[in-house]
Amino acid sequence: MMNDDELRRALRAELEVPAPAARTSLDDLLRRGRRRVFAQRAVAVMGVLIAVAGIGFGGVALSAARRTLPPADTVSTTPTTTPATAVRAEASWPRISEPIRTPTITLNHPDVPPIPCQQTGSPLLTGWPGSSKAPDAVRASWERALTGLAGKAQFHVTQPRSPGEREAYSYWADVTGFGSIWLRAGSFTGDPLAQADDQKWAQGDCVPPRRHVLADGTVLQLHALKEAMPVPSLSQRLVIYAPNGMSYEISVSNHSAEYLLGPEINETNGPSGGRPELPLTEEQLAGIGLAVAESR
Amino acid sequence: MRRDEEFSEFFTSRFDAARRAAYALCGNWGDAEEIAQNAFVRVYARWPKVRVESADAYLRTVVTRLFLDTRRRGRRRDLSVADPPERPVPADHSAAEDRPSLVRALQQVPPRQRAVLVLRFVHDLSVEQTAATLNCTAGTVKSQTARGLQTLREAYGPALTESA
Repeated sequence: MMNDDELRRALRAELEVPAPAARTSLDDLLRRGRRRVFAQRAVAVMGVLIAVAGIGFGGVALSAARRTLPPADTVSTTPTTTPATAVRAEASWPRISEPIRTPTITLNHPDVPPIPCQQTGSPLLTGWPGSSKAPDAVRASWERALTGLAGKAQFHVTQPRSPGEREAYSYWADVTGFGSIWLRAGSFTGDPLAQADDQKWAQGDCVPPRRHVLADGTVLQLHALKEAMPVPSLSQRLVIYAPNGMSYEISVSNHSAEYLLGPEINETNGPSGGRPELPLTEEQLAGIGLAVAESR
Repeated sequence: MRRDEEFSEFFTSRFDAARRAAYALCGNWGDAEEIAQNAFVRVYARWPKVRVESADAYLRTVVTRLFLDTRRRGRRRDLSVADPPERPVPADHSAAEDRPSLVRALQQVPPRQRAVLVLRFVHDLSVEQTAATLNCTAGTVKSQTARGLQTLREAYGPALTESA
């Protein structure tokens, strides 16, 4: 019988075996590192130029198409309810009535992504996103909605590779370069609203999620944009909790699943690993979520 | 250049450990060297923003994420080193050749669960630290640990006690 300590000792002992001589030279590594820094700076400069141009266009577009919208940060104690046949939801779904939280640890480096807040909620020992196969109708509606919004989408399916594998049943789409949109199905027990409440801080969000409830009790929970490490990247997710106990997580990333080790991508796309922003706006993500929620 | 001097010192003192950690994850010295190389390139690029006290944790995170990404892509990339890696130095297995290898058995464990086991049992991280490294919840780490140990137990042969 081997307990934790014995396992730890045995593993470490095996890793102390004589290793082949390292072929990595410091000079080569420094050269590659400098190339990467240069590429990152070039991308940053381009990003600034694009942002300036975007602000200019945005200002013109806003002044031309000004319309009355509810405040984005409206806090409401009662989620909005619309019939299941609603065509499109605004990303101005109200946030749940919770104060904005602060991380228990802070770093002084402004360029380091913020530390997540405390993670609470029941661990998803079963029914985690990706543990179930998404019904054909759900997948089809996700593809339809995505194609309508993102245009050139290439759809892929990650098949389950072994029981319990986290990435089982992941459907993802590469869109216009290095952005991707994922669909993962899971399950839960109990009331959709109670489950949404339980999971509201499960990923360490600091900003309360937005929430929208359909007439049949389906809850759509839209989490705030998140920065991740080690390679700085952006992602945002929306989770649908259906009355039949199924959940659907739709997440948006600013990179494709292929970016991390592709040298041709790394060297030219810099620190974000892909696009400087998410491929979909929050409103578009909400629209896809609503289309999927209504297709069940 | 101060950046290069500091990084050179960090590289010299940590590269072998990073390569061994990557070897625990992938079970192949060639792949391990590639993962360690790429990890150090990324650390170099962010060196001014990596605090001295957090550099080890950052390097560990990058190594783990790079390993997971290679497995997620489902294919191995050609080595980018100038020369092919040397064959491993033949170790003295005379006393241990009949003994099952834990590192070899570890390769039977699914990648993400394997990463959890290596972080917890090789790097000796807590559940919370492992969760932060993998950007998941503590509950996920516990469940992945339990599943990983179960698979490792089946692959290794000798019974390992339950742990989570």
